[in-house]
Amino acid sequence: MSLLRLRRASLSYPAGGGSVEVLRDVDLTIRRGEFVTVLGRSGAGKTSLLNLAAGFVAPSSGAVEVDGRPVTGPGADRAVVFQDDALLPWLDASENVAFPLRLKGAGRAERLERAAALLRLVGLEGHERKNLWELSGGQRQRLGIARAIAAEPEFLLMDEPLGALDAMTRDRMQELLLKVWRASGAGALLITHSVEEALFLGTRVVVMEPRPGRIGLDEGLDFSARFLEGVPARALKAEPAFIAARERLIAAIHAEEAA
Amino acid sequence: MTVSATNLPERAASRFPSGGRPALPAAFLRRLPVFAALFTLTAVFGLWWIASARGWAPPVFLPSPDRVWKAAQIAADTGYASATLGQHAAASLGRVMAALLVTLLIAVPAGFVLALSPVGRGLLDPLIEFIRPLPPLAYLPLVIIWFGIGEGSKILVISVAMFAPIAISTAFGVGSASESQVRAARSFGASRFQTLRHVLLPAALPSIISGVRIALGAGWTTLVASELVAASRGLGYMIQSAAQFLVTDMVIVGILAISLFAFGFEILFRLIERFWLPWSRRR
Ligand SMILES: Nc1ncnc2c1ncn2[C@@H]1O[C@H](COP(=O)(O)OP(=O)(O)OP(=O)(O)O)[C@@H](O)[C@H]1O
Ligand SMILES: [Mg+2]
Repeated sequence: MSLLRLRRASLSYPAGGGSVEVLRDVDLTIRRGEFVTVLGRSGAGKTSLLNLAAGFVAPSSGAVEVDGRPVTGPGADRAVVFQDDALLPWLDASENVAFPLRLKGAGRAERLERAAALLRLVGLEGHERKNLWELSGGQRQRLGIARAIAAEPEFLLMDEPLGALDAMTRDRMQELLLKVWRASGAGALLITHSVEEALFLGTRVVVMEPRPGRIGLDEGLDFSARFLEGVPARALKAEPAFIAARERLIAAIHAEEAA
Repeated sequence: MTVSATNLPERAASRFPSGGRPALPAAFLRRLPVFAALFTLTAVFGLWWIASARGWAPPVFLPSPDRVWKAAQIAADTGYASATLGQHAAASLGRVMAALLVTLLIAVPAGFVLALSPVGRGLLDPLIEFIRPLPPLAYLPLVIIWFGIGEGSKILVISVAMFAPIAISTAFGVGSASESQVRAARSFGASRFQTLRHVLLPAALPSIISGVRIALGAGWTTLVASELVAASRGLGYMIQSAAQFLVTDMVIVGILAISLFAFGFEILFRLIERFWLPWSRRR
């Protein structure tokens, strides 16, 4: 069982001669098959946390490890999905999805075959040869997710992947994301500003407190497991337990402001 | 593309219920710029033709289109200034192409260095800013003193003129790849080289192509300057030879040949952009 782990990880950026501490002593473990959602106010350090986990930046102290080995940079075991889809407009839908395979040296036939399967997984069958500008925002975001899955990562790191979508599309994409995640078996880290989204998707939710960024609340959830067992999303989100959890998290996010 | 009298009132009535200008067919409107361009060309040619036919200017200053056409035929068949028009054109085209190739090999990597390495930028910036504003005629004598009057010097002079536009456009193009595109690729296991090859280079291509367009413009300009010195072939040399004997029709043949090449390249690049880089205009 793979583990992605931040151990007392701190991160500072240089700022005007000195430096500003963005994260302090963050401890966080993500297991394969786990879905950790991250909430927190703007500027709390959520993206910085993901950048550490992805290996885009190195901690100024502490450690980032996969299965006990230190992370020295980005790698195919930790695929990232961004809010702006970060797709490559010179490639068609299939080749975008198959981009990680191209990096591994897969031939065209293999790429197209894998891409077809992944496009089916995210409900985009029939769009194989489409150019990116012929797709909607939601379709492009699905491509971004399918592409990350194509890398066959141990961990899927997502920074507000559904943030730019309208509410209806977003609800459908949440359900799709859960199914895709479950099928891949990967561990997931998802940053969001939507408390409902964090509750619905996560097997665990953490709330980050700002200045410097730390993990405040960290609790387990079972809504996504029950959704995957067949309970309708609408029913789950209307449950008293869901609503109570939502109010508790909103209070936690704004705790410092109130104090 | 005719606006027929029969359908005009009907269209006008449907689109402008209370008077107003009659609507023109959309296909006509879309091609309006093309018609405008054709109009300008026809007007210039017509003016030239009338001016020479009426004798507004003596033929030595303004030969008639007819005489220029005859001169072109003579140049093409029997040759002028010790070579045929085709040979002159081939020599010039060869120099410009050789210079473009050499420049691409140096300027594109230089553009990547400019975009990706702060130290590299520091090293290259002063050089580029030094070369960029210099007129080719200013450094041509120096190049000849250093490297002689051979083919290499001519290609070098053209390359120097082409370097800055291509290097700067490449750097700009590399910068047009978003940070998230680069980071996503890295997170799928792309090595630094693969990121360069599969993300930064394709992202930079449209910009490199526009750099090449600008560079070719500078290249043709410089070509004539470089061929003024000890060349025995080339369109610039042909123009220069003809000018010395006031063979104005031949001068015009040379100018038209160069503009024809420039026009051909412009068409070529538009086709490349349209069919090879359709995404570059769709973002
Ligand atoms: N490259 C950087 N250099 C300096 N400071 C940075 C840098 N990136 C982020 N910061 C600072 O770190 C803090 C946390 O930023 P971060 O992007 O992690 O927040 P976030 O929780 O993702 O916010 P949001 O919800 O708005 O995306 C902010 O105060 C920000 O100004
Ligand atoms: Mg962020």
